[in-house]
Amino acid sequence: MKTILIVEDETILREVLGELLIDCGYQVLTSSSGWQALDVLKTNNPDAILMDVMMPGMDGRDLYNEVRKLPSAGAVPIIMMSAIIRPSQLDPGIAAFVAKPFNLEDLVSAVERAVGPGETLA
Amino acid sequence: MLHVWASGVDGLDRVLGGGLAAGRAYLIAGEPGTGKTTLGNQLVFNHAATGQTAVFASFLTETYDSMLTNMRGFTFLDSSLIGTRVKFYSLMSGFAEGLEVMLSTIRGIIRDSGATLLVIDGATVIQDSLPTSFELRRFTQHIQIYSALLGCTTILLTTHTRDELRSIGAHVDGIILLTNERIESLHSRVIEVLKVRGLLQISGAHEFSMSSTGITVHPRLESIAGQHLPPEAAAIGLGTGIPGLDAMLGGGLIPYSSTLLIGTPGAGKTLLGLSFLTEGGDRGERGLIAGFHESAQEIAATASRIGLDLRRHIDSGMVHVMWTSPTELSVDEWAWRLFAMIDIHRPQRVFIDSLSDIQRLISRPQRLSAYVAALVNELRARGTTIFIATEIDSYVDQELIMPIPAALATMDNGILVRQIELNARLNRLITVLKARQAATDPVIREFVITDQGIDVSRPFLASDGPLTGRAEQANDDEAGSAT
Repeated sequence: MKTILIVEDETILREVLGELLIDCGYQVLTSSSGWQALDVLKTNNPDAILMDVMMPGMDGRDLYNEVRKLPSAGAVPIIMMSAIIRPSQLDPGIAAFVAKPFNLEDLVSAVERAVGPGETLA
Repeated sequence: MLHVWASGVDGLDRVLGGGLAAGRAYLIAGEPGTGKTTLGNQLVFNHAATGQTAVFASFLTETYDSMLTNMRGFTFLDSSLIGTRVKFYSLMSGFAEGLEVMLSTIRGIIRDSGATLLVIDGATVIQDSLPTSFELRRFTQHIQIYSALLGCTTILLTTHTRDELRSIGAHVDGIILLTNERIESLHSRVIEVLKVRGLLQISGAHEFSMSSTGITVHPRLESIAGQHLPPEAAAIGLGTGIPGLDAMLGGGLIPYSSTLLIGTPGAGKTLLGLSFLTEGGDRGERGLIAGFHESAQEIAATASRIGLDLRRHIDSGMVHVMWTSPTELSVDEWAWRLFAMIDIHRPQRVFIDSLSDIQRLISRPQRLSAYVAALVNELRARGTTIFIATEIDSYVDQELIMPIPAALATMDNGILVRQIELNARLNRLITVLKARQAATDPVIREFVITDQGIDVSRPFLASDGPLTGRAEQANDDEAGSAT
């Protein structure tokens, strides 16, 4: 089963994103900040990272640059989410962009573009 | 961009600022018996009737058979939609397994059904049964995000009171509060939109009623005051049917003007109003009588006693009669019914008989002045010229006391008719207290009712206080000065 690391500082949104991606057949890891995400990546190898751009401390763009420096996660597809920042303001190497507020279709479509469909539970 | 859809509940969309927004979470709160379940079902069936899928899910132990039996009397319940576009689910089983399972169940319901409206009844039981009060807040936060992500408007029905809403209200996009109020012996159902994100709701209390069609919201009349402007008046000269009165008014009434007929009981206010409508009918102008006491037949008979052939205009549909029982009246419901009648029949002349009945029945008397101003404004905006009767309670007083002081200020014209005792004889008199046009007749005149009509041609030959009902005979010099 493909694993998605969700990096989102808003607790409820992080929880709900996790619930919905699990419903769609993905495994989920979660982090509430860029620093915590880097810790997670030391011991885990997700198939994609879904990250918010606007986060306190290390924001999504900083986290993107740090992840790209990691030997183990340098090529992992990264999907960015933002209500304010436009895709043209982000690194062209991102796998997908989701504009907030988004609906489930937008989200799943972006994740599927990055890593393919989730596994349907029997 | 906010996508707003019509609730299908008469009056509700107006107070919500347009309707319900797609993908938003709302809370409808109210104590038991306030109409939450009825409103929830009405929204579900109305939504399904537009071709969408709607779900009613409940934490309550009441079975759907039982609930639907209670709803069977409402015309919105279309049983052919049940199981196809209206689906019912019980959340009781997931409830026992904790919040996570419950949320998972709700996500599954929305996704599997493809619903664009989910109504959840009894959400308050989460608060009552789970270990901390935080659980209901967390549940609501999740529901709000599910609504947005899954594109499903969600409505939680809870028993919260106004004070209890503080803890949960921040986590929903809209809050509607239903209450039952008892003012003396009158029972009043009240709806308030406490919050709506992204729309301009009409705040404050609005009455609503429940009938076989379900809930109808009657937006507080004052809340729409000033939103519509009357048409430009073309020319002076709408006749009242009484040439002498037209002369007193400086040549008749300005079209789309409002006139308050003030008078003691039995002085002839109703006859003036009927003359105004009969004259309109004779000239091919449609009319409407909104009354509280007499049927169409009684009104026609009253008019015929003074030689007015109003029956012909009622029978031909030129003049309509809207009769309302004065015993149990929501004044807002009455006003919206009146506007609906006007929108259908398009009368040019409207006679309301009388404002005193509205004054007696309005639940909060302090509303009356603003209510009258809003009523008059809306009627004028609908292209009508208005006569409104109102009673002076006492036949004799120390001074002329206006029954609704601010009402006259909001009207273009004021006409006083009253009976006075003089020389052991009851006399009627009439005078123009106020008129929008400048050239009005300042003379107090006799108001004579015969079987041939009303005559106001003679000046009233008395002085010192006839308008208070305390007339004294004038001396010859004073009486001779008026013509």
